[in-house]
Amino acid sequence: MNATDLVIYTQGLSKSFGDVKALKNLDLQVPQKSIFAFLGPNGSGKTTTIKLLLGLIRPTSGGGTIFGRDIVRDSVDIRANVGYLPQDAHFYEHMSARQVLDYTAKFFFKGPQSAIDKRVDEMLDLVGLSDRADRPIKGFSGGERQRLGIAQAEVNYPDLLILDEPAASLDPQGRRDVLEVMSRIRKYATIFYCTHILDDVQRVSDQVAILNKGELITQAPIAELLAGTGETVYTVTLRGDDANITSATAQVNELAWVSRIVASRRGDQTIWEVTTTDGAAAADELLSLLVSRGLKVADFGRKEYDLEDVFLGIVEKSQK
Amino acid sequence: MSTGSNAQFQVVNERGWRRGTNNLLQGEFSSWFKSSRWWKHLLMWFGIINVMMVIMVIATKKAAEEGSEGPPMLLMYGIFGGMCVAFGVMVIMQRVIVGEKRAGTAAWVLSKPVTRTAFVLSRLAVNSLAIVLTSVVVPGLLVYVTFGALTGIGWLSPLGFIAGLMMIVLHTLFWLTLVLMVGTIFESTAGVIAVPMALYFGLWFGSGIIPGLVYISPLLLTFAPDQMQSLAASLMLGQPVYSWLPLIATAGYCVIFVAVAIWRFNRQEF
Repeated sequence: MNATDLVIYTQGLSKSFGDVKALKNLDLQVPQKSIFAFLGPNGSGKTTTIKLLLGLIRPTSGGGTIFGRDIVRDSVDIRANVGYLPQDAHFYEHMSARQVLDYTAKFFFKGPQSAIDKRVDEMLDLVGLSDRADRPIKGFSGGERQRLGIAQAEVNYPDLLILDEPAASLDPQGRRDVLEVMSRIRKYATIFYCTHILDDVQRVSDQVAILNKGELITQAPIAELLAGTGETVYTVTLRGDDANITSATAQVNELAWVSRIVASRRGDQTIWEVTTTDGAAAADELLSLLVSRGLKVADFGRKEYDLEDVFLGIVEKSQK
Repeated sequence: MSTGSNAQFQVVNERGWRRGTNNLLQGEFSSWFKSSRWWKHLLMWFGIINVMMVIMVIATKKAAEEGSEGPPMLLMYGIFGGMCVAFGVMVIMQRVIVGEKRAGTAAWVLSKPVTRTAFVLSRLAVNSLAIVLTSVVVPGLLVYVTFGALTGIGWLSPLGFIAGLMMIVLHTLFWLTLVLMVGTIFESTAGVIAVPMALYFGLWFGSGIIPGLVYISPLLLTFAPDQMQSLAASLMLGQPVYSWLPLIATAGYCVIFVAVAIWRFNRQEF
C-alpha cells in the first residue's frame, strides 16, 4: 500500500505508564475511506492508541503520522481535520446540546453564524436530538450523550472520524442508527473506531485490527480475517450404520485434498468437520462420494466463521 | 447528511499558541456572564464585603457614642477584601483546571484544534476578569461610597482609592494564579485548596517569626501586621507607602505561576 493512501500510519508506537507497558511497538496502517475497526479486550491499549493519535498523551517511543503529519509535532493541525468521540463523553453540563455543537463548530469555523446554525441543526437532526436541542445536557441519558458525542465529532465534516465505543450506551435502534451514519459517512471520511460489539464490526467494517495486552495481533481486511487460515472446512451431518461411517471416514481421510476430519456424535447423527486444502474439489466430490456409499447426508455445507469465533480464536492463541 | 463540504464557512485562522483562543475565551466568558453565575458571585461578595463593612461602620459609630474606639475601617476592608477574597478565590478556582481534568471536559476540549497554552490563558483571563469585577471592583466602589457617606474617613481621593484597589486586585491575582498553577500539578481539588491555604497561613505566621518575609509577601498588599499599614490602605489614604517590594514581588510571583502553569499543562497527559 502506498504511504499516501494511508490516513493513519504508526511505527513502533509504544506507551508506558510507569512500569506498565500499555502499548508495545504498534505498527498500524489505516487506508483512506476505510471503516477500520480496532478490537481488543478491555485494557488492551485501544483507548491509549487513540489518545496517542490525538496528542492527548505522548508516546514513550516510536511515532506515527495522520494525513502524513507527525502525531506529536503537528497534533493541533491534525485535530483540525479530525472528529473524535471519547469513550465516556463529557461536555459542559450547563450547556444545551445546541450550545455544545455551536461551541465545537467554532473551534473550526469562525462564521458565518447562519451557516454554523444550519450545520448545528443538521447534526442535531442526524443524531435525533432536535427535540431536545435546547435542554441543558445535565438531564441527558447516557444514550443521548452518546448521540451528542457523535454529532460533535461530525460537526466539522472531518476527514478522519475517531470513535471510541460509538455504540456503547445505545439501545438497539440507536446502534442501528449509528451504523447507518457510519456507512453514510464513509463516502467522505475514514472512520477509525473501537468497539466491543463484534456484530457491528462485521456489518460495517472493511478493515480490522486486533490488539491484546498492548500488542497488535493481527491487522487485515475483514473478508480475509473471516476466511480464516486459508483452509476450508465443510460440515457434514451423516446418518447410517456406524461401520459404514467408519469405513467412509477412512476413505475420505485418504483423499489428497483432505487435511483432517474431526468427528462428533449428536444423537443418532455423526457430524464431521472436514478440513480441506481444495474447497472446489470438496464441493464437487465429497457429497457425491458419501451418497454413493449409501450414507444419508442430512446436512452439507461450508462452515461460515463469524468475527466472534475469529476474535476469540486469535486472542486465545495470542495468550498461549 | 454530510456532503463533505465546508466551503460555506470561514475557517478559524489563528496560528501558533493562539489556536482556539477566541472560542475558548468566548466559551468561558459565556459560562460567567451569559448565566446567573456573575450576579450570584456579585451578591455573595456584596454580602461578605459590603454588608460586613456597613456593620463595621455601625459598630464604630456605636463605639464612638460610648467613648471607645471602633474597629479601624481600612484594616477591616483589608480583611474582608483581601483575606476573604483570597479564600474565595481558592474555592472558586479549584474547579477551573482540576475540575475540568476530573470531569473530562479538558480532554474533550483538547481533542479539538486548540493549544494547551490557549486553554490555560483563556481560563486565566476570563476568571481573572470575572473574579476581579465581582469580588474587588464592584464591592470596592461600594466601599468607597460607604466610607464617604457613612464614616468620618470622608470622601477619599478617587485616584488614591483606585490605586489602593489595584493592590487588592494584585493580591487577588496572586491567589488566582497560584491556584491555577497548583491545579496543573495536582489531580485532586483537596490539594488545590490545601496548598494555597497552607501558604496563606504560613506567610501570616511566618512574617511574625521572620520579619523580613513581610516585604516579599503578597499579604502586605491588603493586610499588615503590627504597626505597619498595608499598601492598599496607604494608597487609599494618600500616605507614604512602607515599601514597594511586596508589589514588585507579587507581580513577579504571578508571572512565575502563570509560566509554570503553562509549562506544566503542556506536559500533562489526558
